[in-house]
Order: sequence, then structure tokens, then C-alpha cells
Amino acid sequence: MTNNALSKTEPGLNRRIIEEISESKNEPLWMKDIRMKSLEYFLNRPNPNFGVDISALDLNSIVNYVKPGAQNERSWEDVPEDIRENFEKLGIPQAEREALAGVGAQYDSEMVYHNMKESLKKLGVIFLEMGTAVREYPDLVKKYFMHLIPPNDHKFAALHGAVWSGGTFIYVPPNVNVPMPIQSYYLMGSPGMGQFEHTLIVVDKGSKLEFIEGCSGQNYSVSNLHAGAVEIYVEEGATVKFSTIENWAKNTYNLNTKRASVDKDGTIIWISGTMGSAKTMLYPSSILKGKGARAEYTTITYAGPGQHLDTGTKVFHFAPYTSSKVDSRSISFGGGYAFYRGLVRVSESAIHSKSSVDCSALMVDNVSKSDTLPIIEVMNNQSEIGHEAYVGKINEDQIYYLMSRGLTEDDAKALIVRGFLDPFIKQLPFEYAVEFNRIIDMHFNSKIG
Amino acid sequence: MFTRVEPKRQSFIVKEDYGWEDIQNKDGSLYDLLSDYLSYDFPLWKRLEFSDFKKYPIKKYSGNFLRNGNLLLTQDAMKTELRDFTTGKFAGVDPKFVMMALIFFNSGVFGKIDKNERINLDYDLKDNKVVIENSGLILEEDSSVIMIRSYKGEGKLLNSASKYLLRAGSKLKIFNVIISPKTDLVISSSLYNLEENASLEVYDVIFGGEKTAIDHTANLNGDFSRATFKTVYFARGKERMDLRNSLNHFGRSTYGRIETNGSLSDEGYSVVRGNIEIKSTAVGADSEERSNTISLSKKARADSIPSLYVDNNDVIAKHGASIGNIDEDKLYYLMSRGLDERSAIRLIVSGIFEPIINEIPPDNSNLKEEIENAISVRI
Repeated sequence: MTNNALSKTEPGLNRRIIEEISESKNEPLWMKDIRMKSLEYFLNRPNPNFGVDISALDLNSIVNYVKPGAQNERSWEDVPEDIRENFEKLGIPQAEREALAGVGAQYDSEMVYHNMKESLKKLGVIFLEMGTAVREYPDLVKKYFMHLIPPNDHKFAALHGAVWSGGTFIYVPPNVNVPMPIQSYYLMGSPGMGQFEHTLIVVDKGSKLEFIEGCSGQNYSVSNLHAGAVEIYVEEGATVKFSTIENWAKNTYNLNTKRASVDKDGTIIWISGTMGSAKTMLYPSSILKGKGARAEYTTITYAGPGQHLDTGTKVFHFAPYTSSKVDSRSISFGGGYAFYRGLVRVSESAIHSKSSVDCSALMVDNVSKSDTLPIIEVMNNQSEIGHEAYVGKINEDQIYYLMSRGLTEDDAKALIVRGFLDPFIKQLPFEYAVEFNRIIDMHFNSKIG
Repeated sequence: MFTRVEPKRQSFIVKEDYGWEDIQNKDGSLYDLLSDYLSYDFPLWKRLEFSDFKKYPIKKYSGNFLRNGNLLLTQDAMKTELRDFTTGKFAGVDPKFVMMALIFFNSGVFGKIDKNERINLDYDLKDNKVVIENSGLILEEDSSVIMIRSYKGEGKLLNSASKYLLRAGSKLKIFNVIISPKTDLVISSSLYNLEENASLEVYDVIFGGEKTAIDHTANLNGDFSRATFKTVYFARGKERMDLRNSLNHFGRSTYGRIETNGSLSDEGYSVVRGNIEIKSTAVGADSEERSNTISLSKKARADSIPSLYVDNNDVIAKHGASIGNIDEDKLYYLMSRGLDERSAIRLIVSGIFEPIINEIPPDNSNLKEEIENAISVRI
């Protein structure tokens, strides 16, 4: 720990708080400049003019930086017991031993654990806590940091730029196939705090990476805020699969930004599940800037009692022969509100591009809501763009059939919901899929899991 | 419940707006509406690039736009029991333009219909550079109306607001044909309120002006009421069109369909919006929306903005959209049968319009020809 260690900032935001955070991290001046500029943008920007109602979120009461009582450890045994227990419940160290190439774990505002297999280190793969990367690889980080998500993009990108802390930096050198996924897990443990981790992934020419992000938090009566940022650079011919489950506590406002730029013949695959939080606004975006670049999405939004989840996908086709495919599904139940907001923009130069967007929504009962707003903008006539959407209820015939085979109504419903989410669940790492099925069973009082 | 945050209406200030002196049919009851009108600025539309309004003089309509039927002209309607109906506001394309039509109209018809009726309205923009229409029909129970409206010729401004009350069991079929090239601004707002078992069919054929904004909104209030919107369009040159059809389902077992198909050439730009809103009361609603755009030019632009807002799980709600070039296989097939490329394209584009042309009653052969001509000159 550095001498000028900061354990927690006072609530709210001003120049002094930003300086404190920056100094406690021994940051270079350019990073402090980004923070200061971001603060200006944040103070001057209005709230977003669409999506969820955030008027009840009091940004002045949010504590923007909370340092856990731990350093960034390489050995799991060195992580303090109470924090370790939280992660062990999530199966983190066990998964690392069995199926992962590297693991990072963040508690509140800082990473408490970070480790990667030696073999990958030898290949030149860099996997570091974001703050450490700023200090150890300043030139590399500076080239990419908040270029895809500029701090003035929107109010919460600006807030993120000002107070970001923790997160993950990954660099994969050319022609390296990372054989197993790398995972980072983010846990919010303190009430009334904001978590602003920054994930920066650069996968160089011809390389391959699978990254898994898990998010959760403890439930409190006061509001927590999560405004992370994920920037992914997919270079020529590279492939990145980014899987995420955001299962924040029900007191959390999740106003998150994720963006990938994809170069020639590169591929970004987004597997994204949004289930927790009180309110979410999240639209992972793909900027297809190189010829033949591709984006694939398999996303689900799972809105239960008290939740308003406004999620979607955005694809920008800027080059010829680019393609995108979106499969987006949502479930609303118990008064939950799921909103799908999509955008496909095909520029004049993106000739011979293809895009297909499918969204479907399953409404489990008549007190829930489901809305769909997929926008398509096509600026050339040599592309094929299509979109389909469907909103409906659980088919009663299916329930009767399953009940005639001896299932209870709840079991039948759970089975149908699982079937509906199958394309997503199939893409998940095993332990996440198990966890996900368990959550569905719990919500539908089913015991067949 | 949850609040859905939506972008606020954006507006701009004009140097000169219409005022009391521009009212054709001065009536004391318009004072309140006028002050309401003046308190609104003009809407700023990004996609249409509408950011300036030119105040062309409004004159008395010259000629006769009502070909048959014995409906009250708007001036007379203002003095009868229909007065509340003639001055009733609604959102339409934008409240500013709806109010403009309610106050400054120089044409339009009002009527209460209790039997079967055919109404033909032909508006001529060549002799009337500014046409402002305020119309409305009340269809009494079990009545049936076919209305054919056309707006033709090069003018400056067309702004129409019309509303329709369809009482239980009544049927309304409307055709709107707009062929008004080089007209600066073409605006049309229509509101339909449907009672039990009422049925509505609207067919729009839009060739438009330079900037065209159309809104049809049907409130399916009564159980088992039905509404179908079918729109076909063509935009060329630098024409921009924003076409919106909205279905609001309130009643049980209500039925709605939106189908919008069109084609673009040159730098033509179309925005196709379809809104379906199904309220929690609309148990058993069935609603669907489709759109297809064929783009014939590299520089054309097509936007599709469909929305589904569903508050009820006992419904069927779908939408689908496609945007692409002309079907190469179809083109190849037609050319292999001896057609040159231009004729083949013309045939395919005519195919978009044909289902609607076929619906127009047979004694309107002139109108059918005019639509076919409009397609021909554009390809």
C-alpha cells in the first residue's frame, strides 16, 4: 500500500476528491488531466433524455471511492477472510484452478486479487489491475484509454472518467490464442457507494481471447451506483468473446457503458445477461470499422419485481462487407419492466453489409411490461438489413401439455422460461449456467432444477 | 409504476408566424385556441431537417374541393352543434401544426353520417399554393363511409388535420393520395377514435412534397374494434418523408395492422415509424406491424423506427422490417423475359403500389392513372 493511501472519500464530487483519488494512486499527470476534464463534463452534462427515471438517485450522497481493507494480492490466502468468503461463495478461486487462464477480483473500488497462468505471461499476455497498468505500461494504456468511450460521451461516462478505480487491463500480442477464458469479478460490498471499474482489452492481430465478467453486490436500503466502462479493441483478424452476467443487488442503479471497435476481419461476440439492479441502462456497442468486421450478440434481460431494465444493442457498420447478428430476449415478471432499445446504423461506405436483429419478449404475467424500440438507419442500397420482434405470453398449451406429463404449473413455467433463454444459457461458462438455472427455479418456485 | 424517460420536444422560433389577421373564418371562439397556438414554437425535426418555417399567405380556397356528398363545409360547421368537434385539439404530427389547421383552415368538411356515404375530396395545390384543411366526420352507429381524398399539384404548404369518431359498428375506409412535388412542406395529421366493433381501413399513397410528415393515430377504445393502416410511398430527389402510424389498444380483443412499403431513388430519405401500444385493459389484442423499403440509389437513406409498448401478457404483438436493394433474382427474371432494366424496375416498384391501387373503387380510374403516372415519371 502506498503511503498516501486513501480509504474512503466523502460523499459527492468535487476537485479535491478527484485529486485525492488520483494522488492515492500515484497516477501520471495525463491521467489526472483526464479525471479533471471528465469532472467538468460531468458537472455540465444533463441526465440522459431517455431510458429509466434516475431522478431519485442522489449523486451527492454516493461515496465514489471505497478502498477495501486489502492490497492487490497474488495469493488467494493473503486476501482477508471476510472478503475471501464472499468470493468463495461465488466459486471464484475454484473456477480459476479448473478452467481459467487468469482471475481478477475487485471488492468495492480496488482489485483485491489478480493472477494469471505463467505460460501466458511467457507469451507476452498482459493481465493487470487497471491502475497498475497505468503505472507499468503508461504508453500502451494512454494510446487506448477512453478513446472508444470519450469522457464527454454522456453524463455517466464523464462521471466514470472522473472517479474510475480498479478494473482490468488485458493486452494479447499478435497471433496468440489464449486457450482458456480470463475472468474478472466485481463485488460491491459497501452501502451507498459507487463502483466505477474500467476494463480495457486490446487483442492484437490474429489473436483470440475469451473474457468473462461477473458482477454482484450486497443489498442495502440506500442506493448504490455502478457506472463502469468496458473498452475493447479487436485488431485485424482477431476474435474477442466477452461474456457478462450483471447481477447487481436490487438497490443498484446500473448505468454502464460497453463498446468495442472491430478492425478488418475481426469478430466481437457479446454474451450479455442483465438480471440484477433496480434500474439499468446498458447498450453494448460495436463499431465495425474494418472491412469484413463482424459482431454477434446473444443477450437476455430478466426483469422481476421492482426492476426497470432498459437494455439494448448498438451496431455501427462503417466499412464494406461488415455483418451483425443480434438475438435479444427478455423476460418480465412480477411487475418488472424490460425495455429493448436497439440501433443498427449502416453508413454510406458500408456497402454489401448484412444485419439481422431478432428480439423477443416473454411476459409471464399481466402486471409486467415489455417494450421494444429497434431503430434501423440505412444509408446505402447495397446492404441487406432485417429485423423481427415478438412480444407474447407463455403458451398455455405448452403448460397444459407439461402438466399432463406430471409437472406442476410452476415447474412447467420454469421449464418454458429456461427453454426460451436456452440460446443464452448455452453460451455461458458452466458455473454461470448452473447459477442462472437456479435463479430461474427460485423465481418460479420450481424444484426440478 | 415506472417512468419511461423520453426526449423532450425540441422547437425553434420563427421570425413571422400567422396571427389573427390570417384567420379565414374569424370567430370569437378561436381566441383561446389562437393564444395557445402562439405559445407554441415550431417543432424542430432532425431527420426531416425541418428548422425553418416560411409564412406563405393564406388565401380563400379557390375552386371546389368537394366533388360529391352534402357535408357541411368547415365554416358552417363552426356555427353548429359540431363546433366542439371542429375545434378539438389532438397531438397529430405536432400540436403546433394541428392547431394551425384548426385555426387558419381555408378548406375542409364536417359531417355526421348515419347511412352509407361516398365522399370525394380533391384538393388542388396548383391554384391554391397554401391549402390548410380542417375536417372531421362522425360516423353514427352501423353507418359506412368510403372517403377518397387527393392532394395534387405544386404548391407551397399543405397542412391537414382531420378527426374521425367511429361509433359502434360503423365502418370507415379512407384513401389519401398525395402527389404534390416541389411543395415545401406537406403535413397531415389524422385521429381516429373507434367504439365497439367499429372498423377502420386507411390507405395512404404518398409521393409527397420536399418535406412530408404524416401521422395517423387510431385509438381502439371499443372492444372488438379493428384498424388497418396501409401506406405506400416513393421519395426521390432530396425529398424527405417521416411517416408515422400509431395504434393504441385500449379495448378487449382489438385488432390492428400496420403495413408500410415504399421505394427510394436519388437522395430520397424515408423515416417509417410504427407505434403499437397495448394497454393493460386490452386483453386479447392482436397487433402487427411490417415495413419493407426498396432502395434504388446508393445515396438514398431509409430509417425504420418501430416500437411496441406492451402492458399486458394476453396479446399477440409483432413487428418486422426489412431494408434492401431491389431483388436481383426478380430483376434478372424479368429481364430474361425481354424487359429492359428500367421497365423491370418500374414493374417491381409498381408491384408495391398495386395492392392499394386495386382497393380504390373502380369509378376512380383517373386517380388510379395518376398514381401509375407518378410511378412512371419517377423511374
